Amino acid sequence: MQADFALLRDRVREVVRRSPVSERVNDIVLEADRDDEGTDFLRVVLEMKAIDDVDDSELEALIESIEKAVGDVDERYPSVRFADAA
Amino acid sequence: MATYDQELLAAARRLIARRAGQRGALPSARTRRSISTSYYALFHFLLDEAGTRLIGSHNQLRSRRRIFVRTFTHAGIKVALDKVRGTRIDSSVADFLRQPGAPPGPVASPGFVQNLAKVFSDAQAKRHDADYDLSKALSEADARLLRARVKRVIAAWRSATGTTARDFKHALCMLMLLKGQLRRES
Repeated sequence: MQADFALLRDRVREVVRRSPVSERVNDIVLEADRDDEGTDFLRVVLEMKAIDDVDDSELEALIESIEKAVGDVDERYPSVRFADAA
Repeated sequence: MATYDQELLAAARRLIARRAGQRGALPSARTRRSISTSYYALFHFLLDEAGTRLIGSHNQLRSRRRIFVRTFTHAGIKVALDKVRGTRIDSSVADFLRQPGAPPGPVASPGFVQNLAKVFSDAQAKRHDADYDLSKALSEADARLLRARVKRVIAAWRSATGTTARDFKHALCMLMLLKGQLRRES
């Protein structure tokens, strides 16, 4: 199943809001794409302030929470990335 | 002696290592090569597992293992792992992966397998962008986190040594060889 983009964005936004690093997240970009093998996936880019000051364990927890939140409603794998908003 | 996946993970770490006091962004080529190398660490780990489990671990079988694993494809492994990424195994392969003697019905995917399948999907998507699409930004944090996740799922797979886990790994290696597809009787 593939969920509506608005629902996916809300789910990601809610996970970010509950995260200890929420204050650092400037923007969330969500893109659907298809890889070379024809598999659909989602690219989730979190633009963050001073990303290198954030503990990796907090970022990993955020990745896993987004994977779970999206995976519950959409079969496409969400590949989460972090971009420096500087 | 380090295994090939361990050597690749060490290379992925060196690519994003900083000298003491070094500041500023790393060259993007180093970040992208690190991401690609972490993906290949996981890919080669799975090839090594499949070769060892399906051909055998004896030194004299090394040549046969190396010929055998050339038949695996990136896409085939991805299709197979996508079917075990959720809490429940895809129904098209559930009977094949069911533990012998287990009752019929949905089959749960072991946690260490779910995590490995997720990280494989992530690594493959990032590796594709790292190698082929320079318009997709990838950060040093992405490289660092991917390497850590790959290392962790490999360790978790290695430490799952019970009878049930061994049986599941064996069947999953066969499914990867079959590119995730089974002939179904109607």
